[in-house]
Amino acid sequence: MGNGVKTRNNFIVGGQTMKEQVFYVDNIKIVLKEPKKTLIEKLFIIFGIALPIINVIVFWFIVNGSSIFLAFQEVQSGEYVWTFNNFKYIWDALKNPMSPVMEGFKNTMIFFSFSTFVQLPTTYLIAFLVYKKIPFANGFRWIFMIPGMVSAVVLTSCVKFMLAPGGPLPEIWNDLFGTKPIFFADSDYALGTMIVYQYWASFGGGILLYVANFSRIPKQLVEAGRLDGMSFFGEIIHVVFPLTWPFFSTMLMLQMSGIFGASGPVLLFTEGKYGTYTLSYWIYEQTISASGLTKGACIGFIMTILTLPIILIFKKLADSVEPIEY
Amino acid sequence: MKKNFEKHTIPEKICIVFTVVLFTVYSITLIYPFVWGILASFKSGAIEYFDDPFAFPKQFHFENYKTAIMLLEFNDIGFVDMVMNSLWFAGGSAVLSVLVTALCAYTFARYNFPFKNALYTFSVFIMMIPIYGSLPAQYKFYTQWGLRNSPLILVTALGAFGTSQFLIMTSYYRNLAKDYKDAALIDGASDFGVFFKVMFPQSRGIVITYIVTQFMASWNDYYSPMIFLDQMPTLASGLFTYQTVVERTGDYPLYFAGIFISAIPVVILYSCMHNVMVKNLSFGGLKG
Repeated sequence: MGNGVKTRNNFIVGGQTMKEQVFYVDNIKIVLKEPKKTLIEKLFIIFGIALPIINVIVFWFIVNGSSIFLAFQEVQSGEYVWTFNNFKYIWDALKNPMSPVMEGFKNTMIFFSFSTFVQLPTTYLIAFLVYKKIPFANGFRWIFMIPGMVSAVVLTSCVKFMLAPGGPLPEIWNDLFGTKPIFFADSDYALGTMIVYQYWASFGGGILLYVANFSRIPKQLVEAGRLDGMSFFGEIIHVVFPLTWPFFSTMLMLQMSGIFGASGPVLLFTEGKYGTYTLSYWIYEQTISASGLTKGACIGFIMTILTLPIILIFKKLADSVEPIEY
Repeated sequence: MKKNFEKHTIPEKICIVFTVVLFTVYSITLIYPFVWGILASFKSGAIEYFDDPFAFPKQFHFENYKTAIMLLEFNDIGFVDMVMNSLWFAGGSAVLSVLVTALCAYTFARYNFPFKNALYTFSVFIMMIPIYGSLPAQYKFYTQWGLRNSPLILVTALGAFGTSQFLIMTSYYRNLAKDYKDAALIDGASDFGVFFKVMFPQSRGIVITYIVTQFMASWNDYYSPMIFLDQMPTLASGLFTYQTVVERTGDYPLYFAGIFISAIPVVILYSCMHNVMVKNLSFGGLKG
């Protein structure tokens, strides 16, 4: 059956912690049970998990429960009353292409699509090149982290003036295309500019995580592949991607879970003007207006319900690919 | 580096050179706005700034940085007060959240208790499933319980579940050799002693990494302080709202001096810690 090793408060067999283990030796049944916990052990366990449990009860269950209740409430004569009016409001807003909600929904999908299908693969590729130690890789890794290192307020303040009238970018644009747009004050350009900004500024943090993950790949596998004629970029297809699939699929799942929260720095650049509303910004606006708390909660509730099946389907698909242990 | 490059084939070398050129151009586009902003911060004032925003300063006015510290204020909250708010908000939330997470992760890794697996699964669940639209409820709840505009807001940092840090740290503690713990127990240490004197010091690399990343994130966060600490602004949120003042006065050099002062701590922190961060920031993935 195997050898059992017992320590004071963990009962280990083959590296696994068990509550009870049954042995048969010469047909004699021997039952080894996990020793009872001492008072100090119990106090330590309570000490270790009490605060997080209280925190999750208060700041997750109660807050999110309140959010769900708020979705079904409305302020009438200073009192919260139960109603479905918020859902009717959202439904009417989604039917109206000119409403901020519909604009927010459309822009959110654009931001999500761009970040998932353009930004994520680009970050992966750049991280691979940094991991492969192309010339000046460490320097690039440091520089690419600058947008992640400094506050978005710092970055957007600098970029805003680059793009403002009189700045270098409108002048370059004028030389190339013969027009001088006001990038963040023109409905034709504002959303596109924000998407490009988001792409330009967002590589940094992702690269660190990917490079850290790629570093775990055994070099012997790569060398074996090279001996078999694997190319530099073939390494991504045949070695890196298959081995890091669990990590990549987790990152992709986190991306999918944020589908309705996808947004750019709307508050920092345009405050929702010039066709740049997103659902996240609309919820923020409802929150600070104080009178829109229930509507903001309602659309959040709808977004959460719609995200659940997406996550579950994606997780099922991701788990169907067997990870490679290494 | 040269040896690394030489072992590639010709087409690969061409790809690599092209990539290096592309990365260099991208790096220049990243650095240029900051260089421009720093140069603007040395100009004499609104007049010189608007005369030609993209010219070199006629003279480098280093006193702009001192003036920013002394004069920048918004809603009667001065620069120094904003720095203090940033320090307790970023430092407090980083230290508290990481310490609580480390303790909880160790407990999960090394002890059995009722509903342990259910709690762990729940933690993964809430990490994966976002709850949208909780901001209004949060706002209402924090206001009702006096957490807004108060250091008490730091209690929200006393959590572990639903974070990737918790999952990574649990895995980390699980992989630490149990011999350290057994030896400490044999020497008469209690469970508290084992954690605080043996296991926690073993994990200082990953703990420090997470404290630094959390500190940087909280220091740079303008959104949460703007909503929940509107009367106690941090540097990030205060400088963001100060933009409305700048648009009236035109004193952009002073404003840029202020925002670059706010960037100094995190740039120094990252420069010192980025190798340690890369070593400690990784996780395999989640299945099941």
